[in-house]
Amino acid sequence: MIVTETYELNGRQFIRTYSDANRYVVRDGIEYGEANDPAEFGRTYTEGNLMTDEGIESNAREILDIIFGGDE
Amino acid sequence: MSDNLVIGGATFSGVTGIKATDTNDNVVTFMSGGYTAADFADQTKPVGRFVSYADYIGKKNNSGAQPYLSGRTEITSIYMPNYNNTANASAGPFRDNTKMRYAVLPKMTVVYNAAFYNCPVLEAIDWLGGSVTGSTYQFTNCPKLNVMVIRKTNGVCSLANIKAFNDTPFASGKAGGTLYVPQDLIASYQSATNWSTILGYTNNQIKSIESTHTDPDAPIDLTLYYADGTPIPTT
Repeated sequence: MIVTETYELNGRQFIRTYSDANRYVVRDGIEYGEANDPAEFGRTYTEGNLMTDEGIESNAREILDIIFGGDE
Repeated sequence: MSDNLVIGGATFSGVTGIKATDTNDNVVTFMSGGYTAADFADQTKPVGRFVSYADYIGKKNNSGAQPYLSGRTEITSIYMPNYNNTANASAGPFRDNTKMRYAVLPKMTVVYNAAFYNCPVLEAIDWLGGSVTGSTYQFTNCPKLNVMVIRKTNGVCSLANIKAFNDTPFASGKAGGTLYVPQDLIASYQSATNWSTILGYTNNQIKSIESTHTDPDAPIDLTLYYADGTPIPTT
């Protein structure tokens, strides 16, 4: 589900939009992990693909491979 | 780094064959073009050089974490004129380069997950721009990254998540960073998704790339540095 929250930053209203299902939010074909916009633009998003943390996870996998002798 | 100094673009244009030694007395060789996959895979060859491995990345993409130039503590700066990733090629291509101060990638269009994760002395990234994609960690834990130059002229480089800048000067409550973009796009960045928030943090600034080149005849600073800040001799 899409979640929106309003906050203020240096006197300007912003809206944070994210998915509570760990999915990207999408607008105009661009995926965002979290979208922060000036409130006056009224931008809306739909839910997209599941997000991954590739990179950090990969590093953890590499460390486990070193410890336990994982496959190449 | 000087506030008004922007590296990249023509900064290293035509620079070839510079050799120096780094703090570990390893040979640091700067090469231009023509670097093959076989060359790159040969771990016995000197690294800490700028390389062009567009062919390599084209052959090895989308297959999980690749070492690329990650974790290469010999590297103090990179300039890769032909590195042109157009997709989420792989995570972390430049991560954990703990002595890398500058990264100049004039054709790079995509920064994906963990691309520059944990480069603790990285001060500046100068790249073409296109998109910062993925979920997070793109520039995370680069606490000295206070200059980013995005040269794309036909629209804003999309930013998938403000968390891309976690633990950098650009993050909320930090010292602040400076984003350099083309003059015509400054207003667009200030209203763009996620960039608007980054630029809304008090200490961050946005400046035009053009403003750094007021004197076209001014000499360009070609100085490269060791990790301890000492200039690398170029002869």
